[in-house]
Amino acid sequence: MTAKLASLRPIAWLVSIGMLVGLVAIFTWVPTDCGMTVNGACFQGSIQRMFYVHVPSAWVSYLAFTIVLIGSFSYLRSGRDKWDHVAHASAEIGVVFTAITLVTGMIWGKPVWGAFWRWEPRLTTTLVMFLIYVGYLTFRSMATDTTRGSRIASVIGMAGFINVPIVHFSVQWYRGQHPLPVVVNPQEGAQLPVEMLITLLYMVALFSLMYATLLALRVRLGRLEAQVETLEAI
Amino acid sequence: MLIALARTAAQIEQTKLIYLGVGFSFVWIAIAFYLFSIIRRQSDLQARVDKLKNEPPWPK
Repeated sequence: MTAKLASLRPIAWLVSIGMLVGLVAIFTWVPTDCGMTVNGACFQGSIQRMFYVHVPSAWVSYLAFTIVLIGSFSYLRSGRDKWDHVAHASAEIGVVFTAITLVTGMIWGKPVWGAFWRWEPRLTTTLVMFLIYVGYLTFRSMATDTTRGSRIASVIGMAGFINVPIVHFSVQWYRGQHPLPVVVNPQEGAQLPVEMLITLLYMVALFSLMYATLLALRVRLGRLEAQVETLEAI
Repeated sequence: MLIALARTAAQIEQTKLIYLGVGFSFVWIAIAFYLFSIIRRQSDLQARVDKLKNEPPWPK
């Protein structure tokens, strides 16, 4: 176990240094967004730089909930506890990153939309996704019979995933204020200057690596919880 | 008129920078807080596992 944790240390350092490099790129290399001007000033301006943490956080939440789906399905199929630990860990990380997505979106929205929150499709469906997985975690913490609780949680984790594509496609299916995708846009292709695109992809890769590191740590925590439960039952 | 517009634009830009600072700080604080909560819970549980393993199997 300790050897496994030690093997995570270089990755944790890589993520930390990578984040510093990312911050330097975000604030010095990437141009300030000035696609639209109001009274001679850029409409979005520097606040658009929120994009480089908002989008990677949203990506990690999609990734985390996809892993919840895979973990839950595999647990129901095989009955092996390791899949349940993976699903539980991924749901917790997904909730953290969905909260980050919501908060950074609200902070970005205030100077651009004039309000922290709008009941528009993307924001509302993201909030619903957040609440579904908060419910999943609450159910898990309240379940008294571990095996039965894990099985029911797996069903909730799988059913909850239905909302993930709804969140992603909500900007295309319904009319709202949230901008359309600028990277994966089936109609018009990527619409970003090359510096913005490179920085965004770099941050997405880095956030994914951070997710993998957090997942490994959180899965170990799940194993320890199960070990304590077994030892206390003896 | 132009000076007033420039001042307003500078004020708006300053407000955006403050929001940006708050947003970025929130992201790193949230991630660091979560990471430390995992590490703290792990060390607590590890201590509990070690204690349970070292306890004699008979009741005290």
